[in-house]
Parts: sequence; C-alpha cells; structure tokens
Amino acid sequence: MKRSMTRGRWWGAGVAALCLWLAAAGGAQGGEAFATLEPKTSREGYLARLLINEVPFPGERGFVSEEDTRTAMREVLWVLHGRTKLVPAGYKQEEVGGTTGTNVLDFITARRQCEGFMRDAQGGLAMEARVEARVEYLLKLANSGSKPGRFANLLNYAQDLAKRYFAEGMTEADVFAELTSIGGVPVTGRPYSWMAGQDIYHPGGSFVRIPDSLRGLLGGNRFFTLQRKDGTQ
Amino acid sequence: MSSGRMASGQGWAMVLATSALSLVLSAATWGAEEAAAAAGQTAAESPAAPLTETPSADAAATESLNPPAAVLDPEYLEDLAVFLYWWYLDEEDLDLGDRKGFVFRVRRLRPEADEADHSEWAEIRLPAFKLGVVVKRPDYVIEETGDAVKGKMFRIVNLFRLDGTEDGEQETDGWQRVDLSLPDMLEEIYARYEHRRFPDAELTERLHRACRRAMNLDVNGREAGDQVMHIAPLSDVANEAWVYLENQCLLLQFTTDRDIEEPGGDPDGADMRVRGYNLLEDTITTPEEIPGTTQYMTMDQAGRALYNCLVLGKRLIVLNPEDAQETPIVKEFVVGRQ
Repeated sequence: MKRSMTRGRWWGAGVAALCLWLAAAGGAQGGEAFATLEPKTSREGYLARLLINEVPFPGERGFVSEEDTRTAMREVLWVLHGRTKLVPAGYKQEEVGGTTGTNVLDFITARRQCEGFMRDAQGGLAMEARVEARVEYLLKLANSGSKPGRFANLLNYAQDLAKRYFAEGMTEADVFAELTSIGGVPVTGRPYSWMAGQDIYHPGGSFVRIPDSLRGLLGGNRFFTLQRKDGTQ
Repeated sequence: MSSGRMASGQGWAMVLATSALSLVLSAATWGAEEAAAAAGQTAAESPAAPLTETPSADAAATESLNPPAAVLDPEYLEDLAVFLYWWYLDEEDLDLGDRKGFVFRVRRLRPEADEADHSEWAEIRLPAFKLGVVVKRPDYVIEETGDAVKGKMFRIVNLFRLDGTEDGEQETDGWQRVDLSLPDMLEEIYARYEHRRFPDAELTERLHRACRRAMNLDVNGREAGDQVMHIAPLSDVANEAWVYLENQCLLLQFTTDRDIEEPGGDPDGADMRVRGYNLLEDTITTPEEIPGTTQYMTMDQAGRALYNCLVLGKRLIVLNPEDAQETPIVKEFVVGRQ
C-alpha cells in the first residue's frame, strides 16, 4: 500500500509538471493573452490605438527596431501633450494643434488633424475601420506563438503608456526637450508635430524640422518643433 | 538588445537598461548631416555629444563602413533616379546647371537594431535632383509567425530634400561618390516609359484583399456596372503600390517592409499598410492651410500620384454583370501597349 501511494505521488507530480510545461509552451493559445488592449471607446484604449496607428511594427515600412518604435510612441504622445498643456509663448493653442482643448483626446479627434481618428455623430470616440482592423491583426500576431515577442511588447507598451498618461500625466523623458536652436533658428524645443510617410513634405506654419542628427526621424515619422516667438534666444 | 523573448520581469529590466544605453549611443544613430549640420547647431542643440566611430585598420571593420555594393550599382542608381523623376521631381528641384555628370553620393547607415535583425541601410544623395533617400534591405524574422522578412533589394524608406550645402561635401565618413553620365541618365529616364512593370495576378489579388480588409471596400464587389481602377507602375526601389479607384475617387497607397512583389505574407494582405485619400475631401493646396495635420495630401502630390496611375499606369475595368452569378469581365489597358 505504501509503495503504491509513493508511486502515485510521483506519478501525480509528473503529471502536474507536464501540465505546467504544456501550459507554458501553449502560451496565449491556451491561456492568458500576451497582449491586451483596453476597449477602443475608453480613453486609455483610444489613446493606445492612436499611438499604435502612428508607428511601424515589424514587417511594416519604416520599422527600425523595437526601441525606435517605442521612442516614436513616446514622442507622438509628447506632441499631443504639448499641444494640450505646453503651448509655447507667442502661440495660440489652435495654431499648434488645429483646435483648442483641455486634453489629448480633443487633439486626436480634432477635425482634419489625426488621420483615421474622429468623433462620431454622438460625440463619441471613433476611428476608421482600417485602424481597428490593423490593431486586430497586430493583436493576433502578438498572441500567437509560444511566448511574447516584439508585437506583444509594443502593444503592451502603447497601452501602458496611455494608462500611465491618464493616471499620472506625462512622466516620460522627451528626446527633444533641450533643443534651443536648429540650423540657426531659435526653437522652443519639444515636439509639436509629426508627419508620417515621406520626409519630403512640411507641415506648414512655424514648425521646424528636427534633423536626423538630433533623432528627428523616429518610427518612420519626422518630428517638428516650433520657432521660438518670445524674442528670447 | 532584447527582442522581447525574455520572461516579463527580467526582460523588462534588460529592455530598460538596454534602452537607456541605446539612447546614449544613438545620438548619432543615423549619422546624417555631420559637418554641415554641426556648423548650424549650438551645443544646446545636441542633448548629448554624438559618438562617432573611428575606422580601424581592420579590413572587416573597414569593409563594414563602405556602402553596400548593391547601392553602388549603376543600374540600381538609375532605377532610383527614374523613380524620383516620375514621383517627386519638379522644375524647382532639377538643378542641372553646367553639369556634365550625374553624381550620386552614397554611404552606409547603421541604426541600432534589434537582436538578430541583420537589415542593411544606406543613404543616397542626388544633388542634381536636390533629393536624398534612405534605403533599407530588410533581413529579420517575425518570431511570432516564423516569417522571414528578407528583401532582395534596397528600397526607399525615407525621402528628403537637400538644401544645396551638401554638394561640396568631402567624401569622408564613409561617403562614396558614383558618377554617371548625365545624357545617359536622362536617356535612361525617358526610355523607361517603355519598360513599365505592373503587379502580376498574385500581387493584384493581395492588393484587393488588403483593400477589402483595410478599407472595407471590395473593388470587385457586386455593385453592377464598371469599376475602374488605375494601377501605377512598380519600382525596384520602392516597396509600395498605388491604385486609384475612379468610382470612389480614392487614391490608395499600399506599403510593406518585405518585397511587395514577393508572394507570401498574410493571405488577406493584413501585413500591408493601406492608406486612402479621398481626392475630393483630403487634398489641400498647401500644408499652410492646416498646419500640423497628418490627414491630407497636397494637390501637387495628388497630381503626381495620378500621373503615375492614369498616364503611366495600367487601367483595369471590372465589368460586373447585373446577374451576380455571372463572372465579372476584366479588361486591361496600358498606354503605349496594345
């Protein structure tokens, strides 16, 4: 009796170990997802989707590295934050962000600003179908395989960034915070615009292109700061 | 650098540590505009002094500083000139002056990459066009699917204007110069009209699927009548396809990091990014109208895209019969070809 109980205990331990190993190997397919996002109509989920929409993932044109994409997300958020809370002296808020507002969602959904994002007829947060279609595809990739990879890392990063922003405000370092002059032009520092796609175009207004030597190209986006208007050097 | 494979706690610590290190090292990641840019900048412009690499006597290290051989190939550079001529060049850009030769300045770039990413990058400047490009030949694996993203050629990932100060730049820091004959270059550009290349059936079907998925638009949908679309020629230097849907007045751009003509990838085209511009609503004369927007294209940009789609492109007419059971009729037409 005693011998069979011992054998049974070892057998049970072995089965348990096997189950644990299978669970680990099965990953998202059988258990908890590697990456999740808040609902798209929540402010955290909406902001995360904006950040995801503006940057390249592996396999997409403009992708450099995971870190480059993360930095691009942070700087896109800095642009939105700057338009909301850090309008430089000499500028009106609508000159910088195309509208007035008190939070980043106002600037994301501002008419004719962030392509693919808007408010619906009831004033709710809305986006083009293709934005969500891509997010679904990225989530599918992120939650495939046996362990989390770059897709999961980047999606989770976007969501964490959005959550922390609404909970704590802007706590991330800004790559462009210390800029004071570009090509002899006094600038405000901080990014106030980005342009996706080819770098041959300019967003107009008083935006000043941040060159490659100052990391102005991130995630396939060119970032712009503003000319200083307060008369200081 | 973590590629995201580590378990959570340890992995995040490594990622953060590596990120901090890469921020310091990446001050000169792209290494662009060194001397000319530095001349126009104050110390306050650079958050950290950029690090530069000193070429070593070691042959392998020296070799790694040279531009990739593929981007020094005259045929490749001709392809690039043709593409820029068709898509971007205008009379303000063309600066032939007293030039007899057509100069390309080329150098290798080495941005900080993820572990196991062996992609190659280069920068190419064309002073006569006042344009420069950054090109990439990808070489990495998407771990989640096992798909290899491995390009055969260097394709444009960024394009920028030159301000003219680069023309007299010394060939230092890895720059190499390639001189081609200007008359031959122009002759090649004009001759290319006869050698346009278009998506084959497999790629066309992938574009359809990507369009259907991204835009919720089925260009072969059962709306009866003609569906007319114009497909711009492909290029070996650009990983993109442009299609103009006449009925919807919609200009579509498809991009990817993998060779767009390479079969494979997601069967629904989900790995292609699709951007649509409604030319009735999404065009402006100048970005000055709406500073800071990411939504619009200028009429000049639209005009050039339409030139490539309608004049240089292939017209596809899909005739959807009234009876949905009948097979659509597809007609193709390319200007200059019967």
